[in-house]
Amino acid sequence: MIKPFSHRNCFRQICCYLIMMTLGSGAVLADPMPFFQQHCTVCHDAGTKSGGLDLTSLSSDLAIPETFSKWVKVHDRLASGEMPPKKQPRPPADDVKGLLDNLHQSLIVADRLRLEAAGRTGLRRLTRAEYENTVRDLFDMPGLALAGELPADGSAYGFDKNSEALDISHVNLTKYLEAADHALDYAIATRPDPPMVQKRRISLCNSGGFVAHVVLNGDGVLLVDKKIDPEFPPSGEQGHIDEGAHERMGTFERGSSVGLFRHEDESLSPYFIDHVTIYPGRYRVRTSLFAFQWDQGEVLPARGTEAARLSVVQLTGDGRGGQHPSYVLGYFDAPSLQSQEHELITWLNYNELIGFNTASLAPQANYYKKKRAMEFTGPGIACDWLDIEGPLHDVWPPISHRRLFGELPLVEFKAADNPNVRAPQRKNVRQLSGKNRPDPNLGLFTVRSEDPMKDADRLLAEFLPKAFRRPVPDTVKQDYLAQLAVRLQAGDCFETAMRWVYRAALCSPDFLYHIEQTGKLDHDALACRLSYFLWNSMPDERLMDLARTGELAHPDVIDTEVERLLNDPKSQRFIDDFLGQWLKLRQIAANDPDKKLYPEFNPYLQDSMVAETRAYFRELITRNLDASYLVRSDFAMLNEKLAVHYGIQGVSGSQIRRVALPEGCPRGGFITQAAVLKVTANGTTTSPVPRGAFVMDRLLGQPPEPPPSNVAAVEPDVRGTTTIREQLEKHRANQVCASCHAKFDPPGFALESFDVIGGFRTRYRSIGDGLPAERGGIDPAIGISFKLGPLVDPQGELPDDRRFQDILEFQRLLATDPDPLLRNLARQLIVYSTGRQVAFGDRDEIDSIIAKTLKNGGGIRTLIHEIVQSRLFQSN
Amino acid sequence: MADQSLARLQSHAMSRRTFLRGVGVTLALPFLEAMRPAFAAESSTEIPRRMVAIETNMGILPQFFFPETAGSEYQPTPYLQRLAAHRQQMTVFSGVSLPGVTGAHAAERCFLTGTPHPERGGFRNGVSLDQYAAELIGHRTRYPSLVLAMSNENPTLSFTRSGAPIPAEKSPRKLFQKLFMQGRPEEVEANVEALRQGRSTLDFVSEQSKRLNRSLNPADQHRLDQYFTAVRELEQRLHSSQEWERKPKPVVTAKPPEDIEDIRQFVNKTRLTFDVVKLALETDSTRIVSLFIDTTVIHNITHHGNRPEVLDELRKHEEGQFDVLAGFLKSLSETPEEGQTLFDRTMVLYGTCMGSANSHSNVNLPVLIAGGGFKHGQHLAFDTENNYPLSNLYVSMLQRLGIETDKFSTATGTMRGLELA
Amino acid sequence: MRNGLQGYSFAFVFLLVAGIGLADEKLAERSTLKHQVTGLFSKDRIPDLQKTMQKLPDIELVKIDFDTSEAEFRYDAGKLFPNATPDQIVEQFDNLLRNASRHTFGIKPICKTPREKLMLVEIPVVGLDCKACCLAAYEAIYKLEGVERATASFKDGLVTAWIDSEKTDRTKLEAALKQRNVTLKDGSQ
Repeated sequence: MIKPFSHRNCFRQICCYLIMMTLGSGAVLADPMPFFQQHCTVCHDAGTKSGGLDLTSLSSDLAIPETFSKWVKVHDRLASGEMPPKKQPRPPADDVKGLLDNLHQSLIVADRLRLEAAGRTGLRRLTRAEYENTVRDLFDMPGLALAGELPADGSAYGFDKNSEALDISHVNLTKYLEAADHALDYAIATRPDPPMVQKRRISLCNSGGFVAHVVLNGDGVLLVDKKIDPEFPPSGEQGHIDEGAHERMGTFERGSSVGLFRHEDESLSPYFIDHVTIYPGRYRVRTSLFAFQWDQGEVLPARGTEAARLSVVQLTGDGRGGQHPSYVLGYFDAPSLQSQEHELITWLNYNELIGFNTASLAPQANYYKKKRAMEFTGPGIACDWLDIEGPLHDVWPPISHRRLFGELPLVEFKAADNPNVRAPQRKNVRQLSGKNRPDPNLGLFTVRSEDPMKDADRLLAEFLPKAFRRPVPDTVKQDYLAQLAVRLQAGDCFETAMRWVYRAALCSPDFLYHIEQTGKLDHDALACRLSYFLWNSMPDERLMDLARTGELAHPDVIDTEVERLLNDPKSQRFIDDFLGQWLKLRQIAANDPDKKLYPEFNPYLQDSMVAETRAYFRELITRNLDASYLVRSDFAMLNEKLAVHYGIQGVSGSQIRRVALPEGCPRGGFITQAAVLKVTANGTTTSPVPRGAFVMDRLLGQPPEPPPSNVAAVEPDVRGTTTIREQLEKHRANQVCASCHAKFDPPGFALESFDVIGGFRTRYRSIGDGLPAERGGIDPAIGISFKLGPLVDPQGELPDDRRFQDILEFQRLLATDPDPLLRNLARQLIVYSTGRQVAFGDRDEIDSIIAKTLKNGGGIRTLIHEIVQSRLFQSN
Repeated sequence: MADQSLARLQSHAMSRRTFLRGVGVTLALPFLEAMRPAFAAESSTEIPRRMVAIETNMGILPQFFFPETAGSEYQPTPYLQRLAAHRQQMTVFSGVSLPGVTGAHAAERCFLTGTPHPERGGFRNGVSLDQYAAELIGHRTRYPSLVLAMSNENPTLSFTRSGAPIPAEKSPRKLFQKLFMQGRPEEVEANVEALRQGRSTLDFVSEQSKRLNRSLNPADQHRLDQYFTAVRELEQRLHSSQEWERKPKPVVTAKPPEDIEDIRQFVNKTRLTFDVVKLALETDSTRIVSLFIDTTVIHNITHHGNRPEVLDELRKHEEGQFDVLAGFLKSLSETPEEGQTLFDRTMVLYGTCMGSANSHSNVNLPVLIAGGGFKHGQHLAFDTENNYPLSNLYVSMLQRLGIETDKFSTATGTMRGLELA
Repeated sequence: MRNGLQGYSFAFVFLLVAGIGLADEKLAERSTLKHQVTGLFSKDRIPDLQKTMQKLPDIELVKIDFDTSEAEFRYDAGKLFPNATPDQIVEQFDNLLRNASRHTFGIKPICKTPREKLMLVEIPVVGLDCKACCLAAYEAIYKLEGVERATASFKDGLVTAWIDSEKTDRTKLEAALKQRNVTLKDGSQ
C-alpha cells in the first residue's frame, strides 16, 4: 500500500511561500482566498459552481491526484488569460502574477515529493504488441501469432504503454503460459535436417476452390497469351457444367491465366488453396498479374493499372468454406495487358495460405445474368500463376532452436537408450487442406546432452540475459538450474526439462516487465527504453553490446543509435503502434460507412487510408519536416486509389508514393487525411464536435472538458433537412455551453468539408431529397442513389477572434503557429516512450526540448533526437 | 455474521464434493433431485440460486421497450409483448442508469461493473457483478462462473478485482464440450500432470517476483503485487481444477451444437448459446453466467437518424432478440427442480448500456430482470430526468444469491420496489 | 550306326515337339483381350486414352474401335490379376484405369446385347465447346442401366447413345441430362 504522505499542511506551505515572497518582492497576496473572492467566487462558489468548480471548498491537499489536477487547471486557466472570462473585468496583472508564481511553486514542490516516493514511470509489463515483438525477435520468428490470444490492454493518457493501462490478472498469466508453450513448439527443431524446400506453381483456380466455381459461370475467364483460352470458352448463355469434371480433365492445370471480374464477397473467398502450410517458416511468394478490359468476349486493353490484394489466410475449424481470418500482405499492380511479376518473403504459420482479391474492381457478378460473361463489359484482373517456395532456412537447426539449445546435436530418441526417461512430446497438427504433403517422418529426434547440468548452465548463461534484456545474477541462473535438476530427476528428457525452464523464464516478471531504476536509467534500461520506443521490441545484439560496454553513455553514440533504429525496417512498428493510438488508427474499422450514402467505400480504400497516414509520418521523420506539416502540407503520400478519392490527377498504381499537391489543395497534413477523418466520424454522419475535439486534443494538446452529464445528446438527423451545424447552434447559443464549444467547434466546422470517408464535399449527401449527385471519381460500375442535400458551411471563428472561410484558411491559421503542435507532439512522444503521464514539474524540461528542437530547425526527427537525449527520457 | 454464513456455506460445498469423489458415479438428470435427500440433515434453506447477466451492446430501441404506465397494469409494448408469457415473472425498469457511466460505446464494458467514466484517460475498470459473486459462491460448482460472448471480436462483461478483462467463450460447441465431454483417463492424467507442472511453474515465478520485489520502490512494489496476486489466484484455480479433473462430468442427452460462423445470424447464435447455458445451469455445472451479446454487425442501423425503413429493419432484429430471450426463459420455466422450476431460482438480467444508440446516450437504460425469486409482474418507473442507480439492482441480486452485502460499485442500497419472494 | 541316327531323329522330333510346346506357353503368357472402354465420348479422346495407358506399362493398347467403344489390350492376366475370374479381371482393370485417369476412363464388360438389338438415340443439346463439359454430359448418362455406349459433343450439339430399349428410353436419358444441368436443344433444361 502506498502511504499517502501527509500534506495536510500544503495550504500552510502556500502561505509560507507567500510570506517568503512578501519579504522578497513588492505587492503580493497573503492568501489566494481574497483574490478568489474578488474575481472568481461569483461563478465558482458552492451555489453556482460554474464548470463544476467550487473554489470555496477546494481542498488544499495536493497529495490527492484529483485535487492536484484541479489546482493545475486553476493555474493554467489563469495563466492563459482564459479566466476570468473575456467579458469580465481583468484583475490587476501583478496580483495575477503573484498568485501564479506561488501556485506554480507549490505545485512543483508537491509534484517532486510525489515523484520521489513513487518514481516516475510506474513498473509496467510489456504491452501485447511489445510481448509479441519481443518473442518474435528473441526467436527470429517474425510472423509468430501471439498477440491475438492475449487479453486486451487498457489505455491511459492515450496510450497502452503505461502501468495504469497494464493490469495483470490470473487470466493474463494463463495466456502467457499458453503463449510460451506455443512459441517453444514453433522454436524447437524436431528433425536433424530441414524440411525439404518445396516449390509449387499454383493457379488461382484450384481444386474445390471458390474461384474455379465462379469461373464456370462467367465471373471469370481463362486466358492464354492474353487471349481467350481456346479450350475454355467463356460462359455465355451456357455456363460450364460440373466443376469436378473440369478438375478431373485438368482444365485448370494447363497453365492458363485466370482472369477474375468479381470482388471477394460472402460467397467468394479467392484462396490459393493448393498450398497450405505444414512447416512454419519463411516462404518466397511470387506472382504474375495483369489487367484487361473485357467486352462481351473480347480481351482489350484495360482502363489503367489495377490492384490485386494478397493476404495471409488462417484456416480455422475444418478448413472449409470462406471468410477465414486473414491479414493483408499487400497490394500489387496489375498493368494493362502486361504481366508484372511481384515477389515477397513472408512468414507462414501452420495452416496458413495465401488469399487473393481483385481489390481495385467494383463489386460485380455475372453468374446470374442471362448471358453471363458474354454480356459483361468491364475490367478484370488476371493472375498468371502463384509460386510458393519454402520453408526457407539459411541455417539448420534454425536460430530459434539455437537460441534454446545452441549447437547440441539432434539425435534419434530411442527408449532403449534412455531407460527411465520419458520421450519428448510431439504435437500433431492436422493440415486442413492443400496439395503439398509433409516429408516422410524420420523418427523421434531430440537434442542430446552428454552433461545436462553443464550444458544447461552454458545455455542459460546465454539465454537469460537476452530474454531479460539485462545481465542476470548467477544466483538467478542457479534457481533455474535447480528446477532443471528437479525435472530431470522426475524423468523428463533434456528437451522437456529445458522446456519447463524456458517456459518459466518467459512467464517470470523479469521477462514480462520493464525493469527500470528510479533516477537515472542504467545502460541496459536505456537501451530497452530506446528500442521499445523506436522498434516496439527488445534491443538487438548491437544495442545490447553498446549498453554492456558503456558506450551508450555517450550522447554521440546515442545519436548514432537513434539514426540506426529509425533507418531499420523495424521502426515501422513504432510508426504503426504510435499512430494507431495517437491518431486512433486502431479504430479505423470501428464502423462501416453506410452503403447507400457511401457506395464507393471498400477495404482497398480503407487500407490505403491507413497506409497514407503511416507513410506521411514516415516521410516527416525521414525528411525531418517541422510541425506545421502536421496540419498543412504541399505534398501527400498517395496511391491511385487515394488520389482518385481526393480528386488529384496523374497518380497510377497501388503503391504509396510522394505526390506534390497542386495549389489550393487542402490534402496532405494529418487533419485532412481520410483515415483521420474516418475515425472521427461514425460511418453515417460527421459531427464537428468529435472532430473538433480530436484536433484540440490530439494535435494541439488542449483537450476539451467532457460534456456535463445532464445535457441531452444531439441526435443527428440524416434525412437531409437540417445540418448538424444547424442542430448544434442550440448548444452554442447557450452561454454555459458556448465557453467550451467556442474552442472545439471551429476546427470541426472547417472539417465539415469532408465526409465520413474523408471525401471532399460542398453539400451533404442525403438519402432523402436533394440535387442529383455527380459521379466524380466513383467507379462507373457502382450505382449511386444518394442525393446532394444542404450546403456545407465550413467557416468559423477561432477563440482569438480570427475568422476563416474554409479549410484552407483554417489550415493556414493553424500552421502560422506550429508551437502548440510541436509541443503536443513532443508530449505525445514522451508519454508513449517513457510510459508515464507528463508531470507538472516536467514542463520546464519539455520547454528545453522544444527550444533545442527549434534551434535545429524544428524538425520531427530532431525532436525525436532531443527527446531521447533529454533527462526525461533517460531517467525515471 | 457474513463470515459465519459464508463459512457455513463453504462447509456444505466441501461435503458435497467429498460425496461426489467417493461415489464416482456419472450423474444423470435431474441432478439435484438425486442429491437433495443426502443433504436432508443439513439446513434446508440452501436453495441453489443462479444468476445469468446479459448485455446486448448496441442498444434497444426505447420507443418499443418502455411501457407508458408504471405498476403492474402496464400495457405491454411491442418488445415486452414477445415476453408476454413471462410477464408475471418479470420486472421492467425505466429511468435507471449506472451513475457516471458515460462514453457511449465505452460504457459496454461497465454494464456489470458500474465503474464511472470509462472514456477517460487512466480509466481502470472494477470487478464485475458476476466475478464478485463467483469469488464468494463460485467454488460450489465445477466452474465458478462462465464468461460467455456471442461475437466475432473479443468483448466481455466480466472483469477481475483489479479490473482486468476476462476473455469470454464464444463458441457454444466448445462450451458444450467443456461442460459435458469426459476426458479420457490418459487425458485426465495428462491434464492433472499439466496442472501440477503449471502450479510448480507458478510457485517458481512467484519466488522470482519476491526476489525482484526487494529491489523496487514502494509504489512499484505495490504494482508488482498485482503480478503476485495473479500468480496466486491462478495457482488456486489450478488446484481447484486439479480436484475437479478427477470428478466425472454430468451426462446429458443433448447433442453438441454446431457453431454458426456468420455473425449476422446473431439471433440464432444467441439461441444456441442460451441452449447450452440452460444445460449448464440444469446440471449445476455453474451458477453464475455472464453473456455479452455483440450486435456490432448492425451498428450502422442503430444510427438510424430516424429514417423509417432503417427503424423497421432494426426493430425486426431486436424483436428476434426478444423472441430468443423468451425461448430461454421458457426453457428455464419448464425445468423442474424440487417442486419449483429452474426459472424460480435463476435471475436473468437483460439490458443494454445505451439508452439510445442513435445518440449514444447512456441514461434511461432499457433493462429488465426475470425469475430468480423476486416479487415480479411490474414496471418499476423511476425519474427519467434524474435517473435511479441501476447498481442498486446488483446489490439486490447479490443478496438474492445469499451474499450479505449492501454495497457494490456505485450502489446506495438495494433496488427500491423490488422485493424478495 | 542305324541305331544312332534313329536316336538322333528321335531326339530331334522330341526337341521339336518340346520347342513348339514351349512356344505355345510363351504366347499364352501375354494375350490380347478385347474390353469395353468407357470415357470415349468423342474422337479426340483417343489420344487421351493412349496417353493414360502409358501410365500402365504392363498393359499394351493395341487397337481402338471408336464406333463400338471397344479396345484390344495385350497383357499377362495371370500376372496382373492373379486368380481372377473374367468378371473380376474386368473389375480390377477398371480400377487401374480409373486411378490412372482421374476416373475419366474405365472398363466395363463387353456388351451382351447384339448390335442389331441396340437402338441409337440422338439428343440435340446446347452447351459450350469444352471437353470437360462434354465429359459431364457423358457422365450424366453412361452409367444408366441400358446405356451401352454414349458420345457427347457440344461442338456438334449432340449427345448420342446406343441403348437397350427394353431397359431404358429417351425420356430417361433426357431427364438425366437435365439433372446434370445439360441444356436440351428444345429449350428445356
